[in-house]
Amino acid sequence: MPERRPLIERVHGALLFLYPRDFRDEYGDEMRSALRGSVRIEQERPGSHSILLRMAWDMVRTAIELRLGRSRSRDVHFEMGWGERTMNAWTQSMKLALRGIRRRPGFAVIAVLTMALGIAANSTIFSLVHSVLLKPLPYEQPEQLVFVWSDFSTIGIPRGWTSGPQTTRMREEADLFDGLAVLGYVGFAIAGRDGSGSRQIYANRVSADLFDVLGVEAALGRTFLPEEEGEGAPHVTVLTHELWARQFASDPSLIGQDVFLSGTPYTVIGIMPQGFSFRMHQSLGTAAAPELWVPFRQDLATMSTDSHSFATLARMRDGVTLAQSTAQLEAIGQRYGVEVYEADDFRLYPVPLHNDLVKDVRPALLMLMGGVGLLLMIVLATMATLFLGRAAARERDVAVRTALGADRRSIVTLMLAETLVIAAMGGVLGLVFSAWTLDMFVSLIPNGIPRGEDIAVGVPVAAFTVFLTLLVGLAAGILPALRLSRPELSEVLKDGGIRGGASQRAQGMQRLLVVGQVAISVVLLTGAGLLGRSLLGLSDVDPGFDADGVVLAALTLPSNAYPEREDLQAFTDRLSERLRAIPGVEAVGFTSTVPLSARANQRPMDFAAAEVPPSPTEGQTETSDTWRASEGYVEAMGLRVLDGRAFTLQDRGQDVVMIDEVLARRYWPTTSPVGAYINRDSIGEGGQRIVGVVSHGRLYNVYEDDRGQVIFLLSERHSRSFTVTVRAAAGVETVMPSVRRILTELDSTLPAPLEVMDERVAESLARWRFSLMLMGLFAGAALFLAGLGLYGVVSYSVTRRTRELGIRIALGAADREVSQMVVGQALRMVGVGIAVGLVASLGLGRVLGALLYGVRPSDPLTMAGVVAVLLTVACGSAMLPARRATRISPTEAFRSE
Amino acid sequence: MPSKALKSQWFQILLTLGDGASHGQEIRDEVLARTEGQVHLWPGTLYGSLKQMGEEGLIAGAPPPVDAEHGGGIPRYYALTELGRERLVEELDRLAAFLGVARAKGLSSA
Repeated sequence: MPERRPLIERVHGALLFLYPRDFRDEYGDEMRSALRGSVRIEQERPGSHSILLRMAWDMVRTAIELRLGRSRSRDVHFEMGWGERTMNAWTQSMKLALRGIRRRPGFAVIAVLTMALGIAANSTIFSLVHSVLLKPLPYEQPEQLVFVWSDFSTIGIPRGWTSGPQTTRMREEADLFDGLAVLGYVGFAIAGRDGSGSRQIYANRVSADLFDVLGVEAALGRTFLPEEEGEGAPHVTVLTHELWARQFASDPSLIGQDVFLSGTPYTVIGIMPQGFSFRMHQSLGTAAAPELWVPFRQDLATMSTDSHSFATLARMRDGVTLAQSTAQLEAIGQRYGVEVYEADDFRLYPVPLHNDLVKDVRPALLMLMGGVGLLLMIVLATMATLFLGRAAARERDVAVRTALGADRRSIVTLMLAETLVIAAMGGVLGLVFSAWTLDMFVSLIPNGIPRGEDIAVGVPVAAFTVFLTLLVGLAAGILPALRLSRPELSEVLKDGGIRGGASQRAQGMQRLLVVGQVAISVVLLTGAGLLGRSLLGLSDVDPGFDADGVVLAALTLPSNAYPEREDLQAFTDRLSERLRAIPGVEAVGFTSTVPLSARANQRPMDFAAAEVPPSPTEGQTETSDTWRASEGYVEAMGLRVLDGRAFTLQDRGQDVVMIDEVLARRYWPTTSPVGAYINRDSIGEGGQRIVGVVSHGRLYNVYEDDRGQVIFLLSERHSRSFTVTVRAAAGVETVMPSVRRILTELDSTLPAPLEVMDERVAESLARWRFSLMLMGLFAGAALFLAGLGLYGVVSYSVTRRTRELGIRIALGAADREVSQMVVGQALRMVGVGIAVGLVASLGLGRVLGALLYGVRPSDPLTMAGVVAVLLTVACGSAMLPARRATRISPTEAFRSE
Repeated sequence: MPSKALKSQWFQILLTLGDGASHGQEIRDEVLARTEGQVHLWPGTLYGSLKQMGEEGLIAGAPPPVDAEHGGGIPRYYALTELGRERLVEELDRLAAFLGVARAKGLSSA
């Protein structure tokens, strides 16, 4: 194997190509050998640094010097090759371009800032898109990984979790897979090793092979062994690097030690590498990343066939396609369905892991990418307009040069050099700005975005930026360059370059660009407007509960401190009593499932005794979202009692339920369900008596969720984990200190982070707000640039028509007529742009579809608003040049030529 | 009238070649030693200067001395031309003139 040369020699070798070829041929070898000596000299020198940079600077500087020296004495030099000539022409042009920029810094500043704006927006959004959508997942051969879902479309759950027996069946029969791991979620209270800093965490209960399937090893210690899963297995856990650092101060001796999870000791066997996370996708709702993993302590095969609460992750064998594995899983699912559900339409199906993780955010990200793309087109149009204007101003100069024999290529090169230099400056500025503000940007990203944690401006983003910069630089320069390279000489020279036909064509092109800018602005503004209307609509949606004034505290009572049911009951009773005594507290209740938490169970309920029972063809069962609440909860969460009553203290020990309005409407359309029975187990007589109907408190998000809910009575029998809900008439801020103090007084070891329900509601809209904010920014920038472009064109046209306007004024035209003429011209351009833009906006529906709520893409109100905004900006942009036009003095106008 | 100053690295190279032909790396090493490490002629500067000085006729290629030591290829040797020697002497006179002034003002102990 050839030895790899040191970096500095490789860089040196590359930089040698900066030199003229003859120089390189003559001195290349000696320079290479001299380099080694120079590096040695620097290395022996105490305190020597950045050798590589100094070497590079030495080469770049001398290469330029040699080339410039060369072009000065060009005529006395030997014949140069094509490459040499081109390089020389470019070097010359770059020099001239830099000189031009120094001479007219104002123009350069505007152009560079415009470019920087476009590039910053693009590289920021692209860094987001790249890390979320494009970058491969950090697992071994991630393209082989799939999630397997149960299709329960017939009961409204197309992406259902799997049950223990299902996954066991797949493990036995699916031979196209190398491994099949199972995950479920679990909540724990975790404390530091001294028992302090206790808090509630989200964790995953997993099969022992999870990390093998992912192909990831622990950074410290090890992952699970097969014998650590199942009944009677030891309590062990693997932590994320982040939890280890945060809760245990990165103590390496933690391996082999116990940590307490909700009071039970678990031995830490491994710490995962920094940045490793794996989100188990929720069947409904959004994915969350766990902070630690524990193995299953039950045998999956013997679990209930009704309990679908696991995600299944599988790795396809080498060479197996998605279609093959889909076919196999469907066959397995069908056989299982026939055996267990006595239905032949049950289906299991795989979804590639990456698609599954980013499914929810893909539309928003693609929309944002489209948004910045449009913004870049406006930037491009602005650059082209600016340079066209500059080219027009130079027409005469170029005509003279051409007449004197300058060739077309050198003129094109000069123009392109100028745009490229400006584009490059803007590109660098934009990229730097983007990298600089990225942390701030990332902090604004809503929590729900998967992979949002590893967004960075890396090599791909920088490469993308360079590509865009070159593209815009060339595209913006080529138009003016080509135009300038063939002005009709006689016309320009004859006319003084003011009224020439060529000039008129430049104006035509500029107008076209303005029309394009306006059209794109319309599309962006419409997009932002539609998102804004959606957000407004969402804020007005009735979520079924009243979040205002509600404080939450999620508690898990550990089994070591509260071993018996009586202990749990005593604690909750005392807590409830103390909390109710706080001045300003109206109601206190406990629940298993807070609205918007997506934490309900889905279980089949039997409505056979309803007024309108489900027909047998619909299937005998309908799954409903089920959850539990104590007395006082309905009042505390502000659910409305629509019929009957809410739970009371007297219900304790009774088998009673409440149902929500969705179920009441469906099964008791004309009579009252109160007093009727439904059945949880779908068997036998009796069941649960309905005592009341409450409003439908949305569980998943505020905008869609019409699944019926059955609310069981929460009692100490059911769970050690629940959420305390406190309604404060006095406002959340005033009662929070008291709630916190009471919790600490009752049990200082309990983690009890307080939450405000209002913030949960806001969070569930965060993705909309984020998209809207960015689209609003893009649209604002687009509008600004379009206004600037319009101003430029109108202003130039006023200058061009100075004599004509002067004559009109001399002939008695009123100020109003003159300004109407100027503004009218602007409005004609804008009118065409708006028309084109509105037509294009009709296509937005396809892009925005999933992001719109309660508003159609062709919403007339939004469109009217967009038109009004654009007309206002257009009038504003045209007003200044119009005012200038009215002040033209006829005498000066005649003198102007 | 004093002549225009030479570029400092050109001056150092001319000075090095003052007592006989030499090659690139030898020139660099001698300059480095003479200036006590302060002037390090990096390869680009070194060979760029040699090239340009050659083009201006200050130095010219020279046959390697018979006892030249080298490993591998034979490095190119350079020697002063008449023009180069003239420019070196001019530069030295120019510096000497300044030194004379400085002495007269009692600023220099040399």
